[in-house]
Amino acid sequence: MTIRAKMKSPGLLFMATLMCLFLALPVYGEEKKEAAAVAAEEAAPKLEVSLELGRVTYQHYCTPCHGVKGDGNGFNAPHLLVKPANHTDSKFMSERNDTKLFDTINLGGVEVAKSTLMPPWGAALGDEKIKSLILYLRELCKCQATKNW
Amino acid sequence: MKLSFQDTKLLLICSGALLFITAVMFLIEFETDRPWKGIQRDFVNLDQELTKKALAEAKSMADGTAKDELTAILIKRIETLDAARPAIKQTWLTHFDTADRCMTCHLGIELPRFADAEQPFTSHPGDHIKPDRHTIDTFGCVICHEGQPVGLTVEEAHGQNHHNWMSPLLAGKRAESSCEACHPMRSNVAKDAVMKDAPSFSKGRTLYLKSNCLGCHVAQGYKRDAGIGPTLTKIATKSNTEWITAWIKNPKAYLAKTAMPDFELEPGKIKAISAYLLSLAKPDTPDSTARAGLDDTNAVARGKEKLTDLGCLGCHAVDGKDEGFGPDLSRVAEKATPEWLYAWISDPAKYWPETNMPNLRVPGNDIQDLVAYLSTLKKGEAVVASQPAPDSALIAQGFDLVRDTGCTGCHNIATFALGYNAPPHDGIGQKRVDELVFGDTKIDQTLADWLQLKVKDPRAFNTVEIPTLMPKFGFSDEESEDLLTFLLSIRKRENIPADYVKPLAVPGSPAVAGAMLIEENNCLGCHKIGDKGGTVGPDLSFQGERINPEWMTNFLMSPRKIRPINIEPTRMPTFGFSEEEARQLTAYFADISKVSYPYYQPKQVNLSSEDMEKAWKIYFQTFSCQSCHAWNARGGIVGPDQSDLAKRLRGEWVRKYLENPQKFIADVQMPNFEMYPDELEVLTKLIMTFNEIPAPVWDAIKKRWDDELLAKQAASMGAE
Repeated sequence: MTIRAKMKSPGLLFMATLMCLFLALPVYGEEKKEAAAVAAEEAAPKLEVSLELGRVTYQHYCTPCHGVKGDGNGFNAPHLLVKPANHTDSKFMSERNDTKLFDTINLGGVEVAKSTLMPPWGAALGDEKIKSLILYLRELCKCQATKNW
Repeated sequence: MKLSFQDTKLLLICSGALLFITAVMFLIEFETDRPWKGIQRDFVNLDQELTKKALAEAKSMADGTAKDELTAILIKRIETLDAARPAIKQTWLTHFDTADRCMTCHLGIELPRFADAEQPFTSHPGDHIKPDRHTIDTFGCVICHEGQPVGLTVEEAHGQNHHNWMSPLLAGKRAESSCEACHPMRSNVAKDAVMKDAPSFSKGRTLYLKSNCLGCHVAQGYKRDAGIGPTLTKIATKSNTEWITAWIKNPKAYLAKTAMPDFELEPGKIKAISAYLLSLAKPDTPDSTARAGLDDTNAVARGKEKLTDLGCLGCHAVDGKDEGFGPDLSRVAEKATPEWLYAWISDPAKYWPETNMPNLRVPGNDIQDLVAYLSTLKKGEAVVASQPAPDSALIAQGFDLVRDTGCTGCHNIATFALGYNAPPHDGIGQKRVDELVFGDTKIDQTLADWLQLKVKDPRAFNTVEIPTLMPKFGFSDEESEDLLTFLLSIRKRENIPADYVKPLAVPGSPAVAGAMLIEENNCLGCHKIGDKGGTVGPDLSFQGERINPEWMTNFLMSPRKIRPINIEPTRMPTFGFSEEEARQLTAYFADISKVSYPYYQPKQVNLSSEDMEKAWKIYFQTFSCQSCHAWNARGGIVGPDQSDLAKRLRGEWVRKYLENPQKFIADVQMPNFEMYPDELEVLTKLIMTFNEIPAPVWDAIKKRWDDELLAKQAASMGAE
């Protein structure tokens, strides 16, 4: 089963509420992650989650919009209606826990009540690369999640 | 005692009879002692032994029809062997007008159970002898292995070690030299083409063609290259005495894998050649445009980056690990002036019309950066490049040397035309031993031994009376053996009947013509086809099913940048393909993708207004394609502009690609959106109409969706 097939397509507001519920229920989150990991394992050979893999993946896939420095000023940013997130903004980033970051990358902006301009990367990247990206994002913002919302 | 007449008569009769009996006995003895009879007896004994062993094994099998059948066969075979009487075995090869008696001794040749037996009973290796390939009845042994097929002793039949035999046996890989007679592989297929079951021949052929042996030797059916070495007429604008003399003295010291051989010239002669070559043109005066980036560390750094970005490393190396197609550049500053480098990169064909170096289509400032970096590439201390004062006597000596040494086999030099400087190779594979000069060597006097030593050490047969001009190519033992296999294939074989000739590839077919162009232009330096090739440019394995053939042909003739420079700094350089060549390549790509060529008609797109609305929503909202792709420069610059996509890509492929981009380009920055079939359907159809949409219509549609997106964004911000 594909990642996308597992989601319903409710309205944004509904989705946002639902997301809050998801995040409030860590047990559910664990299950979801496990299912996604199985899907990724079927698709690609197992990779080691590492900061270095995160950095390489970020440079290749994310910098066109989020910029080489991660400040949201990629070369493609001027062509976007909504400015890409600034990953060096520690206040902004610390308000998002790892599960939220994972979902955003995995399922795209629309699934976390953000713009559709952030595409879903789950099927292309797989679990390990996304987890590595989160390690790198924490390095970029020099922050950890402050609240688990 | 006096013998009576009667006694004398009796004695004569007796001794006559005795003599007759002795003669008959001697004849019988002689007949039965023919070596082939002994060999046949040995064979029967060996087969008895093998069959009895098999019978014992068969008897231990589980009872059943299989056991009964096998036992019956084996018992029958033992009976046949018991009754076997020596006999000459012979095939009459009608087409070749000869008898082939080899299987009189090589009795196990078609019997798999003799695979491990010793000669002469070993079965034939490989699967060459098969009803749909070669059979003993139609080919005998002689067609591939030569020798004297009517001979019945080893000496006579093989004729291997005695120089008087006209066609010595071709054993082992030397037999590969016969394949070409029926499966032609001359200059009508690529240089690195491989005949699957003739690896030694194929390697030898590739080596022969790539070493440009055809520069000096003519051989029927083989076409020489227009110029494997660069033109030397204007070398004064490029190089200097120091480099030229060092190069001629030992080319491999500068370029490990160069095709330029070692002429073993004395220093005085090298100096004269250099003086002559440098007298042919005036050196360039220092030019500020070419030298603009010199000694500027930023320009050098940029140039180094550009060497990678522009794909130069597809053909050239800069680390001394010479790939062999374009020269290694790690010491290029010792050879070439900045002025020459600048002019060369700007337009290589201007200096050397036959060059394989494409035009990179880069602006002047990029070339300045490249020249700045390349000018730093030298080994050790910088040499002071000098141009000697013209010395007319030396120049005249150089002129004579260039004419007589064989330089013109590979190089175009001023008034000299490319010329054949050595004996033709036609029929070299069947040259008579008495035509060969063995000099003072002590090798076996056979053609094979002569050829092998000749390619390895061309001057080995030199004598004072008969000097050799052939330069040393430095072939290894293995290479010499492969070259020998190849050279033995150059035989005149007029008696091959037409129905024996089976080309393995059709000359001029897309597969062959395309492969030749791919090789000639080193496409695999940058591109992958199958599992071979570089990763600088896109994989070519699936371009046939991806690209509209008309677009492909035009692109090959005048390439342009497709992907945005920020994502893909490399660009396809201009190779100057003619329309015919571009079509051959297009046909080749269609061929390897197994799609038809030239018939391709893009499907007419029919979208109901409802589906159209759905498709626009998918494009602008669900997947927001516009964030990465532009339409006529309106939109993102991560992926290619989509305004002419319908002319470039095949609709069926667009659909397949959208379904899973990573399947075709593993690291592409396009996400896999996991689209549903109905989404794929309408989105593909929509995209395939993009070239027909007028700009105002596009702008209006885009504005509508942009507004909606902004409104939603504002709403979600509010909610947050």
